[in-house]
Amino acid sequence: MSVVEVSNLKRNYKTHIGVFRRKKKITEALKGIDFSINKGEIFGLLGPNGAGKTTTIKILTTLLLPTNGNVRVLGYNVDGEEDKIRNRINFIFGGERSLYWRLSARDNLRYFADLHKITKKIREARINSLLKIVGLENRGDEKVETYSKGMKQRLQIARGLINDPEVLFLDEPTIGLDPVAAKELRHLILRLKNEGKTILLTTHYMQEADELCDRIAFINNGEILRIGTPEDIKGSIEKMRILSICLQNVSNEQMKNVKEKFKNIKINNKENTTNINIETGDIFLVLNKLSEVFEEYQFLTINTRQATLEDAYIHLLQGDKHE
Amino acid sequence: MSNIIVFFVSSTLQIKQTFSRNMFRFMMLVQPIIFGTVLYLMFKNSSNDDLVAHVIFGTGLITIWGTIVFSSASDIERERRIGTLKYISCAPVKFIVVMSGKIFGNIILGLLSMVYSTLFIIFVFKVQFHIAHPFYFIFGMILTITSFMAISLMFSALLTLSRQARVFMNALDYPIYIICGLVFPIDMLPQFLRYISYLLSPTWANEILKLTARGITNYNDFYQKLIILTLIIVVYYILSIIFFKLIDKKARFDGTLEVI
Ligand SMILES: Nc1ncnc2c1ncn2[C@@H]1O[C@H](COP(=O)(O)OP(=O)(O)OP(=O)(O)O)[C@@H](O)[C@H]1O
Ligand SMILES: [Mg+2]
Repeated sequence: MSVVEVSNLKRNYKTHIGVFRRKKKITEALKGIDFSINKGEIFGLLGPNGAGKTTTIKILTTLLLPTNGNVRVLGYNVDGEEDKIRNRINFIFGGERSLYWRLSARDNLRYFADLHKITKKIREARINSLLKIVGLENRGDEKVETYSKGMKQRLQIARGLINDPEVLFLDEPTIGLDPVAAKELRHLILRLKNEGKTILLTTHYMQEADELCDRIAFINNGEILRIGTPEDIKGSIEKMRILSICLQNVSNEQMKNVKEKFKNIKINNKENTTNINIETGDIFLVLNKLSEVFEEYQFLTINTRQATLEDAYIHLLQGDKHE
Repeated sequence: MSNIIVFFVSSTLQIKQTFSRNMFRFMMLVQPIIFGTVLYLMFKNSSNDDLVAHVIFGTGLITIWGTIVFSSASDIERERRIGTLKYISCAPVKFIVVMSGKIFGNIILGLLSMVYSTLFIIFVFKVQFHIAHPFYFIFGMILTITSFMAISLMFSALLTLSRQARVFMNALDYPIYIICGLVFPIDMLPQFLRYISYLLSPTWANEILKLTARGITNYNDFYQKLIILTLIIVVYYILSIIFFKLIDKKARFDGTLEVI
């Protein structure tokens, strides 16, 4: 069953430029995207800055109206049936804002619980357990303004769970967290999935997406480039491997030669050693070509590795740019 | 039931937060003394009744108006800036309930400030707080408070909807003392301004309170004023509900629930 259904979603922003002679400018943040999220799935939305990830999340969480298209959450239309959606979902935007800094964490959570019409008994028990989950149980009665960035971020996570939502939207949830806290959050996200919750997540950390997501959509310039499981997407850059070679005493002529021979090559020079990275599906062919340019003694190390999601991401986006 | 809880929780929260702002403490504690003193100097040769009407009620109403305008003009804007507006306006509880609670919190603060300014005037300037019709006075106060809630709610919605309204409102803060007859009688105003006066609830609240203090000579006239004020309150509430519906649509259409 699809918990989220998006078809032909478009969203424009109207803005004004200039102070005196104000000109209208229309930004097409989403240019007609389609995707759906199944119940119990973790779905990742990945893409560069300004791609339209946050805009998508805002529309799904009823903070923004679509300019065009059909968007349903839990079977209800976000434009018109938002009252049926709002108490069954919640969202977490990364960062330190969106909290009452002059109140304690506990008071913040109480207030948002009240906004969700949660009874006092459930509320107090839930706040205690949430504070424990996000590791703030000893600081819960201190004012938020005395918290570190990561602590505020963790409080936001607790707030996002206050109504025990069926669908959770996370916009860069691990931003600003230390490695341990980020790892704990990833565990928490997996635990929530096991409890049957559906999660949409955006992140700029490819490894995080790879670890967590059942499916991923790559989005760029308001368009979805690809949707699939992380394995599918990694596989989509064929049986692509990354070949990484370290050479010594490379002459200028050799350098020129090798650049002519390979298109997608990354070269790093360091004193008298040179690092070359090549994306390829055929390692022998590459090695053959290289042996035409370099002498055997010049090869110091040769490594190969599987393409990561990050390689796939960069590959896809560059392909998008060349078109 | 949950609406009532949210109403009171929002007002307590508002009181806690507002009171921790320096600007607000100044408005609550220092400003009434300034206004009280200025008004007393203007009217010190009048009868005690006039002193009650102009100095005590004048200062009191100016004070409560100031706290309300100050907050309704900036509350939604502040929530937008700190990023909580999106959580409040898209919560299962209706936004108008939260806002009413906040405004109620402001009114409580305004009332405290009003009591404080009254005590200040009574003790410092030795004005006798004499009310001719205590029962009508209490009734009038309740109506006044309700009307301030209504006008606040309406303005806060209007201010959210339109930036021009915000500029207008800031410009209106002080003139309203004059337009609503809080400082001197509106009979002294040009006719076209008087029409505006009659649309604003403080004008009527002010007249009703003054009559209860000085003594009601014409009961028909007094009741008429009560009815008009009640009608104005009802109209304000209806407009508020409409405006809040519009806010939800418009904010989600324009994407103005937060600043980026
Ligand atoms: N309120 C707004 N008014 C005008 N333009 C906006 C507004 N919000 C977003 N945009 C524009 O819409 C586009 C998509 O922005 P969005 O915030 O969805 O990107 P994003 O994928 O979340 O990026 P990031 O990774 O930087 O968070 C951008 O071009 C942005 O400038
Ligand atoms: Mg974003």
